[in-house]
Amino acid sequence: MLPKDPYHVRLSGRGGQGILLAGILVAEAGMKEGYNVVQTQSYGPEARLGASRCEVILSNNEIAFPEVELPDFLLCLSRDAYVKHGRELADDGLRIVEQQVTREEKVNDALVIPMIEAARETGQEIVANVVALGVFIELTGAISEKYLRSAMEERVKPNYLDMNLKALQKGREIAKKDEVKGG
Amino acid sequence: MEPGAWSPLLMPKKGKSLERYLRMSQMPTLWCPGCGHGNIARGMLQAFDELHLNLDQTVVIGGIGCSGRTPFYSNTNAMHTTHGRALAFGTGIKMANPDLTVVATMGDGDTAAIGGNHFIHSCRRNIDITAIVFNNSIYGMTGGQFAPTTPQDKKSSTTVYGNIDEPFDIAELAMAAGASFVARTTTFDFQDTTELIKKGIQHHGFSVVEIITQCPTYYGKINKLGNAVDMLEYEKDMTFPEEDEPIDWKELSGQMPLGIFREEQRSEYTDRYRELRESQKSKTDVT
Amino acid sequence: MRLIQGNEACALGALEAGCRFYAGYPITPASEIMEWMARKLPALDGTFVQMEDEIASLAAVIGASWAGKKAMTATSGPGFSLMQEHVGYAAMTETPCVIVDSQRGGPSTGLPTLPSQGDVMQARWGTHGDHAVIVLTASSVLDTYVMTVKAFNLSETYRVPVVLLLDATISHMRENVELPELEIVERITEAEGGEDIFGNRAFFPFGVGPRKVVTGLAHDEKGKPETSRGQVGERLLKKALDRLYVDRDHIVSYKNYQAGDAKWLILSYGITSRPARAAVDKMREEGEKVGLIDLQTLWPFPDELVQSYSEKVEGILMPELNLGQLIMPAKAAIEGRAPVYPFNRADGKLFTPAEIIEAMREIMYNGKLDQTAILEQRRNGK
Repeated sequence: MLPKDPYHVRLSGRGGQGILLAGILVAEAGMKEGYNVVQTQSYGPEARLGASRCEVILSNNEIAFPEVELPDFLLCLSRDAYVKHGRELADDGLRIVEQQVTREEKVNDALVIPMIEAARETGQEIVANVVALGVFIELTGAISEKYLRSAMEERVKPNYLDMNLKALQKGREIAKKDEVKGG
Repeated sequence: MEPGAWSPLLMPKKGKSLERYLRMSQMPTLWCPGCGHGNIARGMLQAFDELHLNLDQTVVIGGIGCSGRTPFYSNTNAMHTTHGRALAFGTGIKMANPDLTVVATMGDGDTAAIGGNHFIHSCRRNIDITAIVFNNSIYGMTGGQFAPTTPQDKKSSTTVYGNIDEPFDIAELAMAAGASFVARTTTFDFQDTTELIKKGIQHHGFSVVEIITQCPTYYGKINKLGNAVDMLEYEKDMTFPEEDEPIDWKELSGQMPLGIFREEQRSEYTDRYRELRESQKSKTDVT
Repeated sequence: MRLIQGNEACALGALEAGCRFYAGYPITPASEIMEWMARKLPALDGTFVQMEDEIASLAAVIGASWAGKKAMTATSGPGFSLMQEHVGYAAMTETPCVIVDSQRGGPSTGLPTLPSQGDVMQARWGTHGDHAVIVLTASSVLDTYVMTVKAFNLSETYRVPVVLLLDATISHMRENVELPELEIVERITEAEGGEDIFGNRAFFPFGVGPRKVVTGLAHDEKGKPETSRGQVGERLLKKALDRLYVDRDHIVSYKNYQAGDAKWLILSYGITSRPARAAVDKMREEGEKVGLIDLQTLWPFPDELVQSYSEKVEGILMPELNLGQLIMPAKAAIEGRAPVYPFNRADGKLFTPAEIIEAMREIMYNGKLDQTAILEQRRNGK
């Protein structure tokens, strides 16, 4: 169930971290869940190099404005993304920041989670995006795991599916830990 | 004779009448007296006749300028396009219906200046179109400005002190860009015109048939080359038939070789696309 | 139900409409349309060509149309500028073809990945000379599909080039859609009178019916060039334009969103209609009688429609992602029946619903609009 309707999700990270794929998975799973969805993204050179951004809006109603102004859920998977997209958040919004970011930036008002490390433990760093999705569904309950898995089966290359499904589980597990919940 | 009069070269007193191949409603042509374009057009129509082309299934496309008018006079399907772009239109026509025979009539400005890009890419793709290049070394329709084929030091209405540009050799350009049939002749060597155009049409791939032609109205007049007959003599002097030994293109010093420079069988573009299509049709993952 | 990107919806609409030829040149934000067509056309017996530039792309499309295929290209502003030569050729030769322009900030290379509505005037007047052309736009992924089909249908019906204006946001955004069944206008290649005359609905391609003469010169009904008597060419232009004006009701589409009883109207199109709709929702909640007309046909400009609404409302806000383009024909149509307020930005950002609400309230309660103040205040984060 959506914590809020409409529910605004902003995922950000470095180009190459699979931010766009993560956003599409949320949108696809949201659609399967029965919501109306709109997914937009920053595009071009910055998506390949610098801070990349992808947004999804989920709602039971028609969605008029397609962009996210203040996210209810914000993910920052890299330092650049945190610096560029980390500020704006809705009241009562949830800000999730990758632990590595804290090495160089002071991070306030956020849940700091070692998603990249968790991804490495699962197999490869590139599945940090899916670890983050595990965190997302565990903490928000916006989308049920079964629809996210079904979206992954359609959109993730078969050779990588297994690793991604593990990453999803891993994300849920680390989100459950007390220290995370305590913020 | 006034400009715009019937070109006697299109309808010779002797020889077979090509009236069936002419779109009579478009006569007279707008070519000047003494212009070589009529000879080339006649050579093309005679090639159509000798090849027994189905005129309904033939499209003659032209660019803009004197040569671009040729499609109007040819009793085939005719497409008079934009300056330099005949081959781009032709690529669409041929790719959409490879059964059509597509012949492009283009000037030297069409080919090597404004349409240079379309020309080299057509050569590269090796699409089955025959490009007949009417090379008169000048822009005639617009009043005698120099072209990318005008030799150095020659005069035109925009090179009154002599041309400082280096010219393109269109045949050489075509070969460098990958055309699979490249030939050149002149309007002086009229008999060859028909033969080379025939070979070009028969060749399965991109064919360039460059024909050096005379523009007595501008190029001849400004450069004091005399009348049409004098200019034919000039064409003869400026060219030489290709010998058996290979041509050293760098050592030509203004003299142009004539003949068939390249005739090779290479996979053709519409064929390659058809193969791709067949391979995809066997896997049906549609919409 | 499917999750589809705007550009994908455009390609799917084109294939559904019977498009079997695509020629194009890569450009952001339109490239995915080309990528889809390259992937899907071969198995459908269609043809895809990546050309050497946009000039060649539209030339190839026109050539293919004359060779019997429904044909299209897609590009963005810089490529659309290059295509103008052949938009004119298509108009002069009455060749059905569809050109999609996914707008980005201009002029020149501009803002390559940010949305804009800056090509509205270019789509109508970009090529030299008077000419007939239809211009459509879309404000959602679903509408992109529907309007692409409509673009082909109108192009075949009236034998004119049809331009579909998208933008960087619509092109790249994904929405869940249920693709509807739509009526398709097939090309008629047999004329009732047995002869192919320019401008007739029937359209014989090369190789079918009588041999054709096609030219960009002014010509008579049979295609014969007529360059000394200018009235022949003028007759051709007028005939083509008249066809569009006579059938305007069939060509014009728009969406009425709470405009029926509105006292204040937002007149917008394309992506800008999305924040406009959000603004209407919000203002209606607070009892303010605001409505929206979301134009889908931009040219011929739906002047009767706009006129009739202007008689019923007290003021009209026209937000556009350009510095004031469609407001020109709108004002000409409204002729002072209601005040029309421009609201413009060309900074690569969409209007937000809050900005539109603020602008609307200014005109409702103060009778004026200082648009710079609203936009600057938000840009500065105040």
